[in-house]
Amino acid sequence: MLKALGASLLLLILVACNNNRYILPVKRSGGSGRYHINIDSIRIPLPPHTLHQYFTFSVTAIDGEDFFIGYNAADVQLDIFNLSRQTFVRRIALTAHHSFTDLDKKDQDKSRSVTDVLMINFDSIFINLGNKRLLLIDTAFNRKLDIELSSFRGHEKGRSYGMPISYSHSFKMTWYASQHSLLMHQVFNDRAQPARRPAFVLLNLVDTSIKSLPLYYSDIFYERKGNMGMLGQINVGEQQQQGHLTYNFAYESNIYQYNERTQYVTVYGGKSSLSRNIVQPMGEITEDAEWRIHFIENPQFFPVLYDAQRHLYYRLHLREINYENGKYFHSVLDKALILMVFNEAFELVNETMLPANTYASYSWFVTSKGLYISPTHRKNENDDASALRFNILNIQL
Amino acid sequence: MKFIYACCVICCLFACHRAKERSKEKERLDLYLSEVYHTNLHDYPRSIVILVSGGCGSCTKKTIRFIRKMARDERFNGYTKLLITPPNNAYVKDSIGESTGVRVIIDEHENLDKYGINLPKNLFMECAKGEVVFRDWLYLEKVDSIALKYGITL
Repeated sequence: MLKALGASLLLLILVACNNNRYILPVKRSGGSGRYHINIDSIRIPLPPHTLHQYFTFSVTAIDGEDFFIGYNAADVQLDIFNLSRQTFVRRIALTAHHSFTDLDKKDQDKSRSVTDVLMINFDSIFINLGNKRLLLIDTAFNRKLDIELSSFRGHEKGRSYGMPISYSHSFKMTWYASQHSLLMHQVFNDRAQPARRPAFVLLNLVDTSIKSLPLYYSDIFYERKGNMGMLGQINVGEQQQQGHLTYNFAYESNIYQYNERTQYVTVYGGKSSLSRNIVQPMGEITEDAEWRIHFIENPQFFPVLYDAQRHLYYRLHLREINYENGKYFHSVLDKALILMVFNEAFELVNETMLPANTYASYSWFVTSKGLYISPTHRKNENDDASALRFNILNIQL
Repeated sequence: MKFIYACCVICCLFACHRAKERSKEKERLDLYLSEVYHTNLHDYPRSIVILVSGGCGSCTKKTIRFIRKMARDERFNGYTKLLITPPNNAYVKDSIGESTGVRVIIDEHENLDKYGINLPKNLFMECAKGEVVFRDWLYLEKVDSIALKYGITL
């Protein structure tokens, strides 16, 4: 009995050490105590056929004003708002094109929906349609480019290519102006276990060629054979520091930064003191519900966003929670949302738990005004469906 | 003899364990219905419960057709019929229409998760005095087999 107990303890310690090996500690910024968070808010009254909550969206500054474009699945259109003037600008009805006529209006089946949208300016709006087609349009819905994404899969000059894909909430397509390219996630058909192959790809829009970047999942992903439950995503945020690509993984707290000039990747510790910092591997699945329970009982890290105005990085994550709650059960909606703020050296400036049942996941972005976050949590009793609302978190010295 | 006895005990234990597992959703559903809607399936001699999933692809045209036909079929007039749906699939209510004798529960306040009812697929259950006599996933080809079992032509 004692031997068994001793062996179990040793095993537990070994497993714990094995996980800790991957999780880097975070350095605390010397001036962290000097920062404080101001909260402002905006409210844009909604015209008919617009939404108070968008999960597939893009934000850009045009002539000094911030614009938000969101995909409205119910009406199959793109809705554009001026955040600076707090007005609705216009909608782009997509159903005029046959590719958009049979989409899932509930936006649950992403293979029949818009997975990502990216607005560079009013003349250049990228739409990723179900990770099948990539369209470049303008606000008058003139189609300037229409690319079949699956056509890239295959071999060329001894290299193997997967398919470029993107999702607005995790690996967002990102514009690389210097190379006239879109950065996207590259996926291969690795049915048995994921092989170590470049997971990032540049899609050149001049000659529609693709080029893999030497960027991969973190080592633990391959060691665990991708066994991260529903938390195996790579995260790339829309707001990036020029010359750097910052990315992370939904399953761990480390933050990775690729320097475009040197082509080196630096790993920073983004360790939270308020949650676990790595996802537990999933055991053998005996019923479908175990996926969801694993999703609830593990932390989930979201993309890192850069604030060029304040030279800060923001990363939100959901803290794990026990599925069972007495005779009741918790859902993913009950997980606490934590905001971590880092300086450009990825030293921790601030870590705070945001108010419960207030903010919707996947609903944040950065402009020169600060970190926008939508107060549309499904359990938020003050939710107001008549307006597009955001709280703006402004970190100040 | 000891060996046979041991096998019997193991089989019994295994059977009990399986039975308990199978009734997990039903136990949670009973708690949900009694606490939120003050409804007890044990009060009804015969009942049919359809739990609609919030997952994608859960409500195909065929599934809706099955529910609509069962709701209007006079052979099931003696049954208490419950259709429970999360708010994101509330349109199912409109699909089956009015005056069908089906009590539609739309989980407006998102209580299903709290009671541990979050199914990847639609669940069909027939109960007698609250005890499950048949259950299966109402999903893809299972819609056909359930329809066949209950003599419904799709």
